[in-house]
Amino acid sequence: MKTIIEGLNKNFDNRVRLGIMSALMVNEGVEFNTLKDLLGVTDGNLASHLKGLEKAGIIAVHKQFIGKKPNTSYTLTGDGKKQFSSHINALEKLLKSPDKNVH
Amino acid sequence: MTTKSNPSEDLKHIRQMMEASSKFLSLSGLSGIAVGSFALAGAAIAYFIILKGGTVKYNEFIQVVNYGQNDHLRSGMLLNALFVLSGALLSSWYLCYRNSKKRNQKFWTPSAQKMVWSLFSVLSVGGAFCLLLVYHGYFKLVAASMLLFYGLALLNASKYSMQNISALAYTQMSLGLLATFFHNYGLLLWTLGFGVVHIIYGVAMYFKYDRKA
Repeated sequence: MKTIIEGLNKNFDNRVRLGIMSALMVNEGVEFNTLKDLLGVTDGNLASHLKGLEKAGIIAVHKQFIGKKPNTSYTLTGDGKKQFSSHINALEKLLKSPDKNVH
Repeated sequence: MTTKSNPSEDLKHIRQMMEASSKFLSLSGLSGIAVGSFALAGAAIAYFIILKGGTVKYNEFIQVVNYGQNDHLRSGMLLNALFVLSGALLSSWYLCYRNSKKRNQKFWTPSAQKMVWSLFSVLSVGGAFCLLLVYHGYFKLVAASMLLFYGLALLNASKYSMQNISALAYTQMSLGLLATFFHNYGLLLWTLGFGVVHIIYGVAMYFKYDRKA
């Protein structure tokens, strides 16, 4: 059991978090509302996952004002990028392993 | 620790999210067909009505030389161009908008903005260049320049949308080069590129993507 999940990062064990990470991997910076539309989740749900990823040092938060409107956007930290890449590698390894049906 | 996630589903999800967050995917094949039809209509109006089936001869200032004073060649061509441009823009905009609603996708996303910007930045340079060619009387190169700049604009925009747009881009650029060489066949090649090729591409896209949605 242990060898199967080796390399998988529990910070990414959820669909919303995978979505956030995927969007941040291929875009320079993504705003809160764009992430919300993309993932189709509620404000609260998204905010709590973003908070978790921020606390783990995986994403960085950028708050600024555009005119009078507050605007929050997110980017990956260098460490976050590394962690997500190795998570993807672990997923791919799992797929190639002969007993891939073990969960 | 147990994990509920299924690795192949996870990877699929990651791939989808990467694509959906960075690319504008609401393009509709129908908009290609609409744009092509406007181009064909415009070319037909230009050739059969304004140029009276090719019997109207004009000089380097686009002024009729064989019909005396009562010609409306310049204003006719300008109106025709505006008709084609606005018809193509409005219809493709509307059809893409409708397509995004049908698929429950957001329309004016950051990737849509990037795509429109990368398309129109090159197109406006091309448009200005063509107007300058007209200003100096190089009409024979206008059709070729439109095809070439349009192809370059598409190639620039394809990185924010479906990759197969680059195939359309290379087709338009090849026709543009042909039109530069055979510059007496400018209108014909223009009609082929902006009309026929758009329609073929639109039909192919319609059957590949729209029908599945």
